[in-house]
Amino acid sequence: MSANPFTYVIILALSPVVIFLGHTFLSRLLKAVPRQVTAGLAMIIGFFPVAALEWLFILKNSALSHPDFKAGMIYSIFVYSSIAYSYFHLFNMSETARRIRIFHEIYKKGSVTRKDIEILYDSSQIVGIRLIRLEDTGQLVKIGNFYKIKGRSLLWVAKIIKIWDTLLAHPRPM
Amino acid sequence: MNPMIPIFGGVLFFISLTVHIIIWRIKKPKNDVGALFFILMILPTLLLILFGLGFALAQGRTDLVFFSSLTAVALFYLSLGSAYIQTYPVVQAESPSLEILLAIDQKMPHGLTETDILKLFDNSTLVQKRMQDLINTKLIIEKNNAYHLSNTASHIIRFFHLYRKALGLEFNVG
Repeated sequence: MSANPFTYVIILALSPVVIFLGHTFLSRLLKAVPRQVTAGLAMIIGFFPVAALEWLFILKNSALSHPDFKAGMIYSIFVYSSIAYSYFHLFNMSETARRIRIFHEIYKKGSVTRKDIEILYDSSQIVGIRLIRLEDTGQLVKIGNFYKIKGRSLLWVAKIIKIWDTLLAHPRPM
Repeated sequence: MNPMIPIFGGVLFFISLTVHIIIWRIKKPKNDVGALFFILMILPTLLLILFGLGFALAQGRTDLVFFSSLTAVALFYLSLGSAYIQTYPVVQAESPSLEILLAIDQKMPHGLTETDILKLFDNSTLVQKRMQDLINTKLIIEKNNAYHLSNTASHIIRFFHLYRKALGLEFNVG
């Protein structure tokens, strides 16, 4: 007999809470580890309690070869991955997003002028921080004065985003 | 789980994504994030409610499993939509990290120096474009040559302060 789909919904809807709790614990435990790596670890580790709950309440009574079992697995993997990916982006926004930085500055001061924003956030600072981050995560290597591509994973993401950008027909200033 | 649940959820997501691409290619909405939220979250929900009501009336389905299945379909496309909306800002306002990687890749095997990379960016590209996006989406209000936070933006930044406090991290984005 098939499980009520609502059981999947309840367990998967709890997954952001599971990831957040894991992240809270890991970010205090692994202070020397880059913060985005800690968030990534929380996403991976969070999968196990969610999978265990699904196994306990739904899947252990299903035959592995049954189409309902496979559909449940596919459904859970897609939904969990999407939620975990959204969580990672939410955290990343609090780490790197320019708009959150701008909100923070206005919130602190009440209001800011265009000049304040330009002084606060010059392009050399933005580029400098990102070059360090790309080196730390193994995407770039500095040989002499030249930065070169080392890892290819983020470069592929950049290429896919550029293709999607073309599909949406955004004008790009660069 | 009935295999039709992830299939139907996927179909609703792809219909919404197609509507998004068509509208963006004709004319990108001024409040693009708001429009995207409507297209990927509200539109498929309206379609699902119409389908659910139609199916329930035609087939006489008013049982719990049927409505649970519709909820599971909704969670499927909502989680995919959320993942897409989180990725969209990278496409909409160019990401410095991805632009750096693409620029260096074009100059391989020599690579680029930090000075070369800095020439690709200026404040109007990195900050002013983002400020204009924030004004367009009514998150920032420009008044008497100064920027102020809207109520929504104040709530967002308070949420991020609390979130990072819970993670045991100071607020130091950039």
